[in-house]
Formats: sequence, C-alpha cells, structure tokens
Amino acid sequence: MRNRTAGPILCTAAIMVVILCVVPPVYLLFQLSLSPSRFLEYVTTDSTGPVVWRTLWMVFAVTTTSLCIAVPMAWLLERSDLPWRNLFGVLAILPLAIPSYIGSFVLLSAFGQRGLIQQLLEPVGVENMVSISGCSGSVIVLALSTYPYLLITLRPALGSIDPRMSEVSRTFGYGPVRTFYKVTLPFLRPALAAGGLLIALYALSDFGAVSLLNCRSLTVSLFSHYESAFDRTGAASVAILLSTFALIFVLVDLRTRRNRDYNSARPVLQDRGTTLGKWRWPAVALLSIFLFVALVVPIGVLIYWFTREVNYLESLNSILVPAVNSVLVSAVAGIITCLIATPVAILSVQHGRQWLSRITETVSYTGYALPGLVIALSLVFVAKNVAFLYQTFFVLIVGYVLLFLPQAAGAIRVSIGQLQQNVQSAAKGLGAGNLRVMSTITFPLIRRGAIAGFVLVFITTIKELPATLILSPLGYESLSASVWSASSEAFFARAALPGLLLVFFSLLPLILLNRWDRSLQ
Amino acid sequence: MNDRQGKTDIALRADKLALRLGSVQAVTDLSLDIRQGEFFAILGPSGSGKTTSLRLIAGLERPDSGELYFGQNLISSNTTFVTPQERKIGMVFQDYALFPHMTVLENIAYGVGDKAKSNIIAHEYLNLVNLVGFEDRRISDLSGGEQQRVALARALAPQPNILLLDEPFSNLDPVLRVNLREQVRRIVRSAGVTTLMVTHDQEEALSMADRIGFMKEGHIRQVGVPEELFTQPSDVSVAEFFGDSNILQYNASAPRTLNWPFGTLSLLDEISAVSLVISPDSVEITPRGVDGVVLDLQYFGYYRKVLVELSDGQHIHVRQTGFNYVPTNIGDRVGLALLKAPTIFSAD
Repeated sequence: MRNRTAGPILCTAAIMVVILCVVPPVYLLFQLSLSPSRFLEYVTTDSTGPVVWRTLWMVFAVTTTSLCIAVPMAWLLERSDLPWRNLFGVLAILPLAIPSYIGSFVLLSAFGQRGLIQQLLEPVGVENMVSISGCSGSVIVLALSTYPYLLITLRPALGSIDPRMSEVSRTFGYGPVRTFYKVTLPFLRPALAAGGLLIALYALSDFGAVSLLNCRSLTVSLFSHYESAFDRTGAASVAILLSTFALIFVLVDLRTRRNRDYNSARPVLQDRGTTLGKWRWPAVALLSIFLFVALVVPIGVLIYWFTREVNYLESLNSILVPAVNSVLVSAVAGIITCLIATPVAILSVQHGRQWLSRITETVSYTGYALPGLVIALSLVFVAKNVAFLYQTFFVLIVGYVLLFLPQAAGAIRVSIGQLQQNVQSAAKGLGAGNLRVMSTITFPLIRRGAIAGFVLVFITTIKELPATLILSPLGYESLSASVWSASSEAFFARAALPGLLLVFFSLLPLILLNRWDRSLQ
Repeated sequence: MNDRQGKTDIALRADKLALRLGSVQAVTDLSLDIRQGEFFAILGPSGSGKTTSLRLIAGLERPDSGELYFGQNLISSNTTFVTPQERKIGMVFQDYALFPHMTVLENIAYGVGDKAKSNIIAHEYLNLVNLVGFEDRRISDLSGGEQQRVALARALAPQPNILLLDEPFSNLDPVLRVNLREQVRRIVRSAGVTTLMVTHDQEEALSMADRIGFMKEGHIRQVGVPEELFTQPSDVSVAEFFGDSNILQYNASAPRTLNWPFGTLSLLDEISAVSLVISPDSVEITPRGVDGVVLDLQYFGYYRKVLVELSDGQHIHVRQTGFNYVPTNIGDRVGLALLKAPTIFSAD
C-alpha cells in the first residue's frame, strides 16, 4: 500500500485510542515507582513463591493439554477423510461458548461433594467423592474451554500446507514420520506459537475457574487483596507480577515467530487427505465422545439443575434484570469497540508504515496481553480519583473496550485488507465526495468485518467475569456475576438459569454469524 | 501546427509536475501536452513514475510543484488543487477497482450525475462495450476481460474530460490482451474522448497510441509518434527500451574519430566514449562482409536471432526473417554488413 498521510479524523481517533490504551500500563508503572520496595517485599515473601509456581504450572498444563486436544483434532478435520467433517468442524468450536466459571460449576455440581453423581450414588452408600477441584480441576476446565482458539489458528495453517512439500520430502527419501518433523511441524510453528500464546494468556488471566475450584493462583490472590482490605499497593504488586509474566509470554512468542510467517496461499493441488481406513470409525467415536463431554455434558448438567429449581416464577423474575443488563451492556460495548477499532484497523492496513499507526497498533494489544483483572483494577483506581467517573457504566464500558479492542480490530482489519486498493479512489474519480464514498463504498464493504467484530465482542463481553465484578456500578447485576456468585455459594440450582442463558446468548450470535457469512458467499 | 491552433487544441497540459513519495522522488519532471481527442501513451519500465504521473493527473496525489491544466483551466498548482471528484476524469485502474457489492449496471451508473437518466445512460455504455445482458451480474461472476470492459464503461459513462488508463491490460492473458486492445481502441475512438494510458508494454503503446511519451526515472525523455520513438530514439535509454537494439560501447580512437570493425566513423563533438545503437534488423549476414564468429542461434518461428562475436570481441545480434537464410552453425565464421549507419550517442 502506498504510504499516504492519514487524514485528521483518523489521527485524532488514533491518538485517543493510544491515550486510552496506555492507562493501565502507565498506572502500573506509576504504582511501581511509588513504592518499589513494597513490590520487592511482595515478590520475596515466602508465600509468593508457591502461588507463582502454581500459576505457571497451571498455565503450562493448560497449554499442553489444549495442544494435545487441538493438534490431532485439527489434523482429522483438515487433512483426513473423516466423515461429517463440516459438522464436526462447527461443533468442535462451540465449547468456546462455555465460559470457565460455567465449566467449573459443572465440575463442582456434578462431580463434587453433594453433587449430581454423589446424589445418584447415595442410595448405594457412597458418601464421599474423590473431588477433582483445585488446580487440576481448573486445568481440565480451562483446556476444554480454550482449545478451540488453537483449533481456529491451526486449521488454516494445516490446510495451506502444499501437499507437494511433503512429496518433495519423500523424493529425498524421508519417511512420513521424518517428513512430519522436518516439514509439517516447522511449517505449523507460527500457528502453534500464536495459538499457544493465546491459551497461555487466557490461562494466566482466568479468574472464574480458579476462584470457584479453589486454586490459589495469582489472579485469585490479586482479587483477595483487592476485596479484603481494598489494599491498593498489595493488589498492584500482584498485578505487576502478573503483567510481567504476560509480557514474557508475548516476547517469547515474538521470538519464536520472528521471520517465520509463511504466507502460503491455498495450495494449487487439493490434497484428498490421508485415508483413515480402519481407523475411520474409531476416530469418529473418539471425537464424538470428546464433544459429548465438552459440550453436551455441561449443557445437560445446567438443564438438570434448572429442573431442580423449586420456584420457577421467582427464578424467572430474578433473572430478568441481569439478562437485560448483560445483553444491553454487551451490545453497547460491541458497538463502541467496533467504532473505535475501525480507525485503528484502517490505519494499520492503509498507512501501516507511519509511526502513529505503528504505535496505535502496538498499544491496542494492551487488552490482549494484560489480564482482565489487571486492567479492571487500574481503571478502578484511576476512576477513584475522578469522582464523577467512579462506579459508572462509563468505566465498565471503557474496561470492555480496552479488553476486546484487539478482537474487533482483527476482524475489521481482515475486511479492510480485502478492500481493493483503488476502489475508493475510483469512486472519487467518478465524482463522489468523501461522504458518498464512505456511505456507498467503504462502509458496505467493511460491514462484514464490522459485524463479525461486533459479534465477537458481544459474546466475550457477556461472558466476561473479573472486570465485570470489579467495574460494575453498585447494584448492577449481570448474568456472569450471577452464575459466579451462586456457584461459589453452592446454590447450584440458582446458577443454572443464568448459566443456560449465557450459553444461549453466546451460541446464538455465533450460529447466526456463521449462517449470514455463508449466505454472503 | 501553428501556435494559435496548438493552444486551443490542448486537452491537457502538465508543466514540470513533481512529487516525492517518502524517500523516493517518484516524478521529477512531468511535462507534456495532450491534444483534444488524442490517444496518448506514457511508456516506460516499471518504477519509472508512470502510475504516479497518472495519479497526479487524476488528483489522487497532490504534486509538490508544477502546474496542470485541463484545456485552459488551471487544475493544480502550488496554490490551486481541484479534488479528484471535481475533475471530471474517467479512470480505469490496473486492478479495475470495480465495486464488488454492486451489480454491473450499478457500477456503470455510479458516476452519472443525472440520477434520473443514469440507468438509461448506463445501458448505452453497456451496449458500447458489448455487454448487454450483463446488467444484473455480480462483479465476481465476470471474467477478467468482462471486468475490464465494465471498468471502461464505468469510466466513460459520466462523459469525462479525459480518460485515464492505468496498465489496463496487464491482468489479462496474452491472447485476450491483443483482442481487447483493438476493442478498447475502437470504443475510445467512438466515444471521442481524449485518452491517456500508461503502460510498460511497448507493443501495447506502439499499436494503440497516436503519440507516445517515453518515461524513465521520473521524467519524460522523448515524445513522438510511435515510428519516431522506434526508429529515431533521442537517447540511449529510449533505444535500450525499444526493439531490443544492440548497444555497443566504444572509446574514441582519435579526436572526433572512431575506428571499429565496420570502418571509421567521424564524431561531431569532442567526446571520448560513445554508445552505438544498431537495430538487429539493420545487420545482414553476407559472404563479403566483416569477419565474425557465430556464438549462438535462437529460432523464433518467423524469424531467428544470430549472436555474432566481432573481431574486437564485441557481441552483436542479427535478426534474420523469411525462410531462406543460409544454414549456419555455432562456431561458423560469417561475414557481416550494415544496412544502415549506427546511431551514435555520447556516453561521457
């Protein structure tokens, strides 16, 4: 793209985004500079070590487990002759709609003490269950709800491997195993690194699973600092440590990926895929069982607890406010995030080499790298100093925008990238003014990306827990907070309806988007 | 053409337009006059500033200096800048830049000012480019050649002052390209519009344009009718670009004198180094000629090329046409004769 200067509107928007996005990191550095000794003290305390190790172990275990699930699954879906691949492909993504705190609720309410299984087994005399809570429980829940991210990045990479590459390898006398290690795996490295980073960051910043399953990780420790004494410096110390780990992950990923983005187009020769032969049906069975556990069981358990509710009328009544709140706030967050993401995306695609757009793009990843809790915490402390902002929806929305800006910008960037260079120039040449170009050409052409971005932000906002807990104005009830507080007090039946609604509101837009996308093609 | 006529006849005049893009001086001096109704081509190698020149004329780039007139009207100068939407130009982009979310007819009607008649006018131009029946097609369902014709109709429908074509055939396969060249030339003729095309394909420029401006490194080196550029290049860069000429480097043997295997040339000025430009068609293989050794033979169907080494070690290509050439083999000694004196340029 030609490097023309961006107009004043774009530049103003970009500067605003930059200011917004640097609030959390600047706040953290400010806290650090206020009392560096306090941070050192926290890091060196005896109790910190175990929390850090526990967290890192969990991150590692979640990432590895997700890899073990996603790599073979991506291969089956992309490179083999598995039956019903399209159907499995859609179903395999859907566990994304089950947030970690609902997964934890399922684990607790089905397998835990006084849970579903134990109740069923009680007549036979079982009174104690081997409980799978704690950090190993969190690992299972997190791996099951995050592996789809890896699947999403791996499938296109696997699909774009040119079958001729492995053919060339075979002409050199390498067998299939050696070919996989020498050719396929290095080719997949960028996708593996990108997906792995996403999962590691997700596991590091998760709050729902670890808090419900009682795994004292860094986020739980951060939240209890914040809750118990409203301990600003203590919470800030944990936040700095958390952010440091997040940054290290990002840097490691950058190193792995450097100069390794293999921009391979779709292969000219379409590979028919490996024939599974006698493994065909075992593969189908395995995949079905897995999806049953990851998708059907959680929804089934939610429905079971819903049927155990004694007073339907009351529960329907009490769900109305949080449901409307959640949908409205998520919709508003989605619209505002997309509005802000559009100039960021335009800048990075069309003026990519200018310093302003580089800074804007880099800074807009704040929400991707920093844990939601950290962002929420810095916003709450900054807002405390600005009386008219404290405890307002404004701060809540700003939090969501910061967190989900990268998602929206990514989706919009794709459709701006597909915009032919000269289409806007062509319209101008035909006598159309700026306004007409925007309304008849630019907007209709990036609409698809903007709607996809909106849906993504809507879904992630409605599921979001930690920032919602911290930033919500007093008396604001949301679906995610309802599920979390009910299940943390073991009111399983009360958590069921908001949980079901959440899954519904996450699944519905995904399915609609998928339909609409296909009707466009 | 006398001076008075020259002034009223000019459709476009660019006077020393210049533009720097980042660290690159993309256009250093774009100066040219295009006459009313003329088909003018800017020809040059890639990176010579052709497309930027076109964008300057379209108003998609703002020049750092220089002036641009459409007829008598000042369009662009240090103090004036008419926006692209006010210039009444029609532009066909290299990638066509059709609006993918609109039908063929909607694309063509987009630029027509009179909204009430825009559909009727769009139909007229659809007819002109021979695409009647394609009104409601989606752009993605069209072939490359069809897209090109839609782009042409879209550019012509608002009846522009000037039609700008940016490498219009570069995305098409060779057979279609030759075919479309003829069609486009005919369509543009019948629309009677002044046209400026930029291209790097000399055959395209030579066969389509009334006049050609050869551009290199940001400025126009030579302007002329196709035959002129081909047969009388004004400097070595033009000669190099056209008709794969032989360019031989020599140093003057004595003041104003050059001795070379074909005899002695007298030079006009005191120059020490010269480039001799010799068309491969103006050398002949004959038994009574200057000595040479055949290094290579290439057969191209209706002609063949023979690479010969002269006694002083210089290489020269000879093109032989017809089917009655003397059988020759690599390594053979042959005689060479010049049918036309070489063009001499100073290489100082």
